[in-house]
Amino acid sequence: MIELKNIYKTFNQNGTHEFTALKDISLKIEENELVIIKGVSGSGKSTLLAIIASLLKPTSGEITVESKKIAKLPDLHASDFRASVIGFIFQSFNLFEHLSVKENVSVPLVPLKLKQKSIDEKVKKALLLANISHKENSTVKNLSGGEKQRTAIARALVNNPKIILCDEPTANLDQENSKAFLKVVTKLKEKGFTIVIATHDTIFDSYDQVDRIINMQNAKIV
Amino acid sequence: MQNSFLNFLALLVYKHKSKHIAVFLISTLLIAVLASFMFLTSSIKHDALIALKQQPDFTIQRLIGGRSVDIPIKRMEDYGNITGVSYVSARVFGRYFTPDRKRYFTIIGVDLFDEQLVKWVKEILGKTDIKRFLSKNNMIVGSSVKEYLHQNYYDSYFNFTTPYGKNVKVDIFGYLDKQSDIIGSDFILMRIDLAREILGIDSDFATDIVLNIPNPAERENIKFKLLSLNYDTRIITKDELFKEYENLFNYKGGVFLAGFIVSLLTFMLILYQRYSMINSSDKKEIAILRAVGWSIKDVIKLKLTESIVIAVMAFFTGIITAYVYVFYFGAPILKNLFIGFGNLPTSINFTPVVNTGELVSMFLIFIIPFTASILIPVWKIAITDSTEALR
Repeated sequence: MIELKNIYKTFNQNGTHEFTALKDISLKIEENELVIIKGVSGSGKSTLLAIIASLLKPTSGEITVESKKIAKLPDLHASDFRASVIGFIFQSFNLFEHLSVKENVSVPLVPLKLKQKSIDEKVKKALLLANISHKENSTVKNLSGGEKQRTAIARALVNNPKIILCDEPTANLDQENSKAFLKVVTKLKEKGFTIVIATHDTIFDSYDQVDRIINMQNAKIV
Repeated sequence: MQNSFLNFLALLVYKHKSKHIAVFLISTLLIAVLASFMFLTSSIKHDALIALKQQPDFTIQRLIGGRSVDIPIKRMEDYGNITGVSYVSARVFGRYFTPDRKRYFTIIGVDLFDEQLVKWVKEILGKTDIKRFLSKNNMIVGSSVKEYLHQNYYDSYFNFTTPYGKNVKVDIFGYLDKQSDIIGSDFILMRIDLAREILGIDSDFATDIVLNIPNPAERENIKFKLLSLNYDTRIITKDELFKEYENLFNYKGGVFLAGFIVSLLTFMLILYQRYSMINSSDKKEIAILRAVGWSIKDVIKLKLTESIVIAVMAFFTGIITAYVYVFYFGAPILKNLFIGFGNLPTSINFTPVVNTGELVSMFLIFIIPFTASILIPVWKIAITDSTEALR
């Protein structure tokens, strides 16, 4: 499903502030697997997720997702790939605060040239799956942290992607909302999604749905 | 463009209204000022050229020591004998300063035998009985004169004083139409001999003599003959007046256009800088769109369309504002730049004249740099690593 071979990522290459975020990362994640990537801040977890999502291009190495080599995809294909294969959930939710829940969830569908009816159906389905339909018309800025998180999950699911990437998804949540998040993740795993979570939250240590924990330190898998 | 994109675009424009308001207001102001100048120029030019068309082909004045002095009317006979001259008439007009010497009226003497002048007077007087008007000490006044007289309690007559100190009472017979304001707001029309008396012009003299020469090919030749008859002659041709008017308006319009382009470029530079130094929330917005599957092309299309919508709205608001300002309110303040600071204050009615070609040019001059000033910085941001903005 996801395969990384000898991935390196260096920022400001040959510049005065050259920084290597990933060093020789090789990794294979199977379909419907729930993988936790653990590590302290700056260990390279987020960069790894961004590369899997094709938001960043690796400096060298090869990455295959769903049998598609994505390391050198041009922007138009990379965005198509993101829109159809990947759902991304961020630490700080990254929602449009002034838009409603429903409007936020529909954002990934806007460039897909779908009919409004089809958009509405997909949004409704995603809202139900993330358990946030009751707030569909509320403006995001008026929501609690947990509700924002569920809106972000609905947005990640709206395209019906195969892979869900979560970057520190519980960092801004209290314990109760973190547990609620785990329940949603369990539901998603049951539905067959492949899930990769980058975190340093210990709540995942005792989470029984986890298939594998990968530890990262100083840009390497240890 | 699909509906979902347009819906999202409308949503963004609406939700970002506070962010767009400054750009919208400045753009509207710029367009409103330019369009006001454009409407003013077109309207004044239109009315002035129409008025000019009714003028005789040649206006002959007498110059002594470079000063314009009264011309003997006996010269009319010589002029009438020149082959090719079809119409000769003497005109009497002059400035009459108010008692406080701060303002003046333009007195025009109307002679029943001056067919061309009578025709023009009939046109602006409409149904007024011209013979009855000319039978007594009557006058027909423009709107500024009417306003002045009213302020000074002269609602039915005015006492003029001749250069020799004699008082002449003249009754107000009627008023010139508001449509004549551009050329005639300070006009007073009266019988020619009455005008002579008030202006101190001897009965054997006139202010100038006018001629018509129907064949344009003959005009240069006749001009030469006229000059050879009297060396103190100055000839003003209608063609020269046309050119002078054209140049005057084109010059004023040109000076203004240059100023506008400078302002527009400055504004575009500010826009460019604003988008170059785009704040973290804008960067984050672009980064979110990229992360959820939008391509660089989609992001640029959205941002560009959002800006174009603002620009188009500002353009049309500016045009409508200018139209109302010029044609409904008479362009207060701005009109003085074109017609000079009026000797008599008046609220002029400008004829609505809209030049579509100029409007389209203005739209393009505005929209193309506006779009370019946004496109480049947005494109730069869209292609840079957006993951940092998502942390």
